[in-house]
Amino acid sequence: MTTSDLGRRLTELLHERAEDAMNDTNTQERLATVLDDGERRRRQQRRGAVAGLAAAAAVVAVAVAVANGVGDDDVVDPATTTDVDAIALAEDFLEAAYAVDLDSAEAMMAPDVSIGGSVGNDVQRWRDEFMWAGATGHSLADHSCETTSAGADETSVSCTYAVHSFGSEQLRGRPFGDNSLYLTVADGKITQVRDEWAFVTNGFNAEMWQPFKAWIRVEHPRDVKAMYSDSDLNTPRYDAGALRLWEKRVDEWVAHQL
Amino acid sequence: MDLVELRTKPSGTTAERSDVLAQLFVAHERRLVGLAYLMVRDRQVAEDVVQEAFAGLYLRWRELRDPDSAVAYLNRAVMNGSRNHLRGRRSAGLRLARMAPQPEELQSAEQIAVQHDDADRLWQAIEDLPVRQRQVLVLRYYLDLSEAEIADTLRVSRGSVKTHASRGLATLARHLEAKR
Repeated sequence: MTTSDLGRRLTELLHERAEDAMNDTNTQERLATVLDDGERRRRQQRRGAVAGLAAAAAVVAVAVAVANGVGDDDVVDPATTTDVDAIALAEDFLEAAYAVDLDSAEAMMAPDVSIGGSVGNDVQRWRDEFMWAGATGHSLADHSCETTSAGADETSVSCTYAVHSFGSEQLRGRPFGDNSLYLTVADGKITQVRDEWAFVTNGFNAEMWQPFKAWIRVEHPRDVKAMYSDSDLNTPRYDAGALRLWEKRVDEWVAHQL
Repeated sequence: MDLVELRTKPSGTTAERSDVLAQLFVAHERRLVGLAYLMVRDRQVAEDVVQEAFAGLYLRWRELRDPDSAVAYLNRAVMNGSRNHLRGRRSAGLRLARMAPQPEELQSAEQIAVQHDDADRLWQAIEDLPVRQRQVLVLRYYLDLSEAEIADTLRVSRGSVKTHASRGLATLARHLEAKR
């Protein structure tokens, strides 16, 4: 089946199934409900905003203006970071990082984001780690995120996730799990990131990292200095040349293992 | 006051806001219910998701007065709302039953059986896709959005849209071939 055949069948099927749901919905009946609901929520929001303003002595003048009949559009939406938004953001962040869509992932972070864990302590190092992850075949296999605390100003989210790497899909048939991502979200942006790769406890070190290290020392000793920044071969280099070598040699090692 | 007029008029009273929202609702509600339904597989839930989207638009009226922005916002809100619902459902370990086959024009019993079988397989395969891949395919093949529009709706890069689309299509093709 060609892609265009599949696309045509998908288009037909999706329209057919959507049509069924659409035919059962009564637009006119629901319109009044939706408008009432919207207006009710707007009034609640407005009351909340006015109460907040009234509580702050420094903005008494604004409260007076509201009391004097300031229009609808003068009410500023309060910050609306919800648990659901924070979880969606965490999942998007994780997916973007492992798709090496680093510009998108970085755009989810606040400018003064605090970074820690296995991905270094600054944005550049974080980017380096994920560029290296991309070069060595890391891909997100599974994840699960939940809210760990939600305050008025920020929400904390914790994700557990599994990744395939170094050809684990072909070599062992299951990903390396138990990795953890901890995020703090405020005003729709990530303000803190802590990413803990469980590479020792989840088997990656014993099954992939150490065997690859032994193999590269024997098979490509002249590449070692270009790929690692230390003599114990514990830390990769992240420059473009090194990443090209990592990609090439990991592919070769995976093929050798099969 | 219509949508074009409102675009050029910066202030809007509550009555005007309701008037334009009503126009948007009549013009887009059915399409959005269809969109949500393709994600959540439950008409009642789909209607709730769409209602939430319009309530959000009502509250964000100031920043979304431009009709193009409003429609883009509604598409995004429906996809996010559907995704959130699926997340909750996945957490609860629930799974909805497959849809019953749709009525067809008169054909042979054998043809109908084969077509239903294929359509159900494809429908099931779509349901089994990761949510992000399903979102991309639904936006592409149901709303006929471009890559750039999908990227904007889902707030991801165009590269990510390409990746999800190609993985989703490959999975569907594999699934259909395997069942032959």
